[in-house]
Amino acid sequence: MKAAAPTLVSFAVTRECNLKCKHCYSQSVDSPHPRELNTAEAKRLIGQIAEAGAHLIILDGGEPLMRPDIFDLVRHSQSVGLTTVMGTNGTLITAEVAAKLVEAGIQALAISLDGADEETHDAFRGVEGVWEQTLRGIENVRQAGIPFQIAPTLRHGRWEQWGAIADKAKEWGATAVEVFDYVPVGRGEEYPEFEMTVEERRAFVREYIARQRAEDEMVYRCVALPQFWVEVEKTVPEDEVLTKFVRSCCAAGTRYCCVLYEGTVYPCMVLQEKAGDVREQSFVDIWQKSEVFQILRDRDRLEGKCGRCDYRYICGGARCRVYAKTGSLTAEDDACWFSEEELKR
Amino acid sequence: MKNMPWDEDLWQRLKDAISPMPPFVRQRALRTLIEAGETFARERGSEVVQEEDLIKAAKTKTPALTRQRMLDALAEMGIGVEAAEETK
Repeated sequence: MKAAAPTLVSFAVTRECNLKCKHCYSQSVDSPHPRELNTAEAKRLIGQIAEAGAHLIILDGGEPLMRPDIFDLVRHSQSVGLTTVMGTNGTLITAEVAAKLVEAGIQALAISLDGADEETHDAFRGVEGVWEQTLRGIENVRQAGIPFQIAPTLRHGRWEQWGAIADKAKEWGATAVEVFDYVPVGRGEEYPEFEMTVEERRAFVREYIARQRAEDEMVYRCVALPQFWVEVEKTVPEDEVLTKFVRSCCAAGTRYCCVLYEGTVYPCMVLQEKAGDVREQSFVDIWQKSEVFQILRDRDRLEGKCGRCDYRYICGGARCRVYAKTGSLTAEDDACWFSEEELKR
Repeated sequence: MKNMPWDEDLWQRLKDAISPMPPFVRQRALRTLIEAGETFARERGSEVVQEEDLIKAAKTKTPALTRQRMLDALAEMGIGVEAAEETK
């Protein structure tokens, strides 16, 4: 069977970043990777992503605004018909940068915010004063009329701040809050203590569901925590599920993949098993033929509890976390909190 | 939303297929598929909407720009895999 087109692809345009985040999956530093795709290569890749049938591209990094040709890449992405959004830390978005983004055709921004206060955010982002800079960036984005979402990372002991972050996001006019569950990959491998416990995850999911049910405008999504959908289906009336909730994961290799600044293709930014290299093979070929993607698309290959689960085609377990722990793409997700009985549909 | 019975398994798979869509897109898509699927079921004298009705609805009533994506989403959940392949 021919692969379905990806819904979205993220392209980490550069490794260079002005921050030193503890959880950085792409191990970003203060200089570009020596083999970073040049402008022509990056444009060729963007064209191939469109050719593969993708609808949306996320330009991220590193910090994408560190890349000198970023506005050119946004324009190119627009010209090949991709809905173009950017994942940024927001600190470099002056009024002038916001205006340039609008002129280049950016359609939305995702701005990272990892705490509800200065102390928490700055400590996690590794640089003092980032909170203030990020807030200024958000204000400039708002003034420029660019739709934006706020993207916090949940971590052990601090996850409860997400509610306060979501309140602020709403106050600032964000359209969505996309919550990432911390996965210890990349630089995050050095900080396994930030990973939430199963109990914390479950408590978060319950809070998340309650919040979304009470919300008519803001959309919440969560990444790297696919069990949330099982909880949604089990606890939310069908009409509310259909009108309010979004199943945002796990799409690794099925509806989504990620390309790094030097051309490596991964199923997901936090599932770092190489599926190909766009310098050696076209993105279209990698998307359609990569063995890694074939394995991830066939949920009947899942093992243990995940393999026996009736929700395997809509949840499938957090493949990223399983892979980080075991090196297997198909092993069971031992962080699943449901009993086998509960996983019968 | 539904005005007549749907095959239970088909309805579940349809919900799974559209669950990743943004809510406003999903509501529009669902309304279109339900209305057309039920019309096609009635036209062939069935009291229950079956897979063939949904596939016909997706192939004929989904806007051209998003048709393949809809068929792929349904195929991912095991609905009308052949239909998704034919159009590629």
